[in-house]
Amino acid sequence: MNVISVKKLNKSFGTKQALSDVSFEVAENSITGFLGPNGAGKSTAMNILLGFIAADDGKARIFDEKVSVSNHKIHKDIGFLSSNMALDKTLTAGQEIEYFGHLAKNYDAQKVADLAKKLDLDLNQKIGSMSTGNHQKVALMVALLAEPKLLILDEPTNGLDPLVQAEFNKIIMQLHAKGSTIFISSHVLSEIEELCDNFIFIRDGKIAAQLSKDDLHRKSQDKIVVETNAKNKAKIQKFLRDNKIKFAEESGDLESTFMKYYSGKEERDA
Amino acid sequence: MLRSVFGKTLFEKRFAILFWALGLLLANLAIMQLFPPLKEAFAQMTQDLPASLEVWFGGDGQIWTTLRGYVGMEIMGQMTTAMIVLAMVFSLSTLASEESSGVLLTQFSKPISRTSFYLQKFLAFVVATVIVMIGFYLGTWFGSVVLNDIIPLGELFQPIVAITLLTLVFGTLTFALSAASGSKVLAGAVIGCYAIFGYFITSLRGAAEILTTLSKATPFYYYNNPSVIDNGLELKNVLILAATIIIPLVVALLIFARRDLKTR
Repeated sequence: MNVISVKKLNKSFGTKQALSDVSFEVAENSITGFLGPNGAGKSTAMNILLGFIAADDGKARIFDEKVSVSNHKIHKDIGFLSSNMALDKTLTAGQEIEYFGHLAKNYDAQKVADLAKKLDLDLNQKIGSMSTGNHQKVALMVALLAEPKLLILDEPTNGLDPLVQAEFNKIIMQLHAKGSTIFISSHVLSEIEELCDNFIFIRDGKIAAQLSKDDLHRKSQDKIVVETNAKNKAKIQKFLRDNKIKFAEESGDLESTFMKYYSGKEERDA
Repeated sequence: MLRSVFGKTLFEKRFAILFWALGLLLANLAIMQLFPPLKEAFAQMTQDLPASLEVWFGGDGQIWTTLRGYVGMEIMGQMTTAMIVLAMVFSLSTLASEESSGVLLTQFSKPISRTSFYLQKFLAFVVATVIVMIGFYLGTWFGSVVLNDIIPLGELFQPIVAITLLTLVFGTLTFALSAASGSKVLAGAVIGCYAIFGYFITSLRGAAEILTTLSKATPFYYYNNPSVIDNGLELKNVLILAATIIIPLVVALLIFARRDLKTR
């Protein structure tokens, strides 16, 4: 079953076409990475899924319910976190979380205290005086309050130090183990590769590819990786050229695949 | 307090509400004490004015000879500018500021409808205004008590209702335009200009026919015409002011419920 289903989604801002016939699916209990450079359309697609903005055309469904700016009910099962999640700076972390807990109709003071302890977060500190890391911890708690069935994360670890990032990833994995579906966009490709089992590549508002982790590995397995010194490298290159065998000096990881889609190399190879 | 959008909005604004209520109480108390020294000077000055400029000072020099006339002129007239500033500041800080900062998106990621959010924000603005107006009301009354020329609270009630309605009109127009457009700069600029021009046009309406006609397009024309402290509220004027609140509020809600929110 698909938790997110998007079909031929279009959205433009003035003359700029931000999304063009975007279609993809996110399976239940998957961790799907949504990848693309800045301006590719990741945040626009997520904003449509969250009902912040309306699509010009096309359909989007979450939990088989139509997504629209007026359908707020699906949000009871969705947690959302972005890198620049705005919070009320005049409130303390505890007050902020209490407010959002009541909005989510699922406020549990004991659960909040436990999670704050786990994240080493002072609930009495004012949001306005917090570091980026602590601010993001509050935002994460706000997103996780209702134990969402779907967590939408828009570059959630931007600006976080490696320790907080590791803690964050641990929490995501725990949530996934409990059955939640995670849809995450990020520029940190190594992190995405480690977390995700599916990948959607978007470029210039169009879906470039949707691959599973197996697909990604299969693509890697099409290659022979040769480790060699400079002298032998030249010999090997000559041999490959003489025999008209196509080759590239790259590794078969997510980063190389990402670069392939965004440098236009995939099209050239085809 | 933090259980709803309404409660949280009032909680965040609690110090501002207290400051404004106390500030207006003291301001009105002080303004009332200026009545004895100003009474004769102003009465003489307005008698010497050309008729065309009399309207600027209340249209009748005799108005300055009684405390009720002074309240009608100073409290109901000059203090409206402070109340309009208050209305615009309060209304812009309830919804438009949250859209600018992005907090609106965080809230709409939770299961709350735009209609409920919008109405709770508006209700919080109305309650904040009413609390502040209580300070305004008591300051005026205490002022008359100190002068030993008591204007009964009941007699002051209708003028206070009128100025509260005027405050709500400008606050609602600002709230509605900012909610519909997503721009607090646009809302502040448009309604601010409307208020300034409206105030001057209505103040000088006796000086030229065209100004009388134009003044009918401003809320100032209806809120204290004829003088509420002398004649009480006119139902027709109350209905016009109420419609000026309700119609933009509903139209803006319909737009806000459907438009794209500002994303960063």
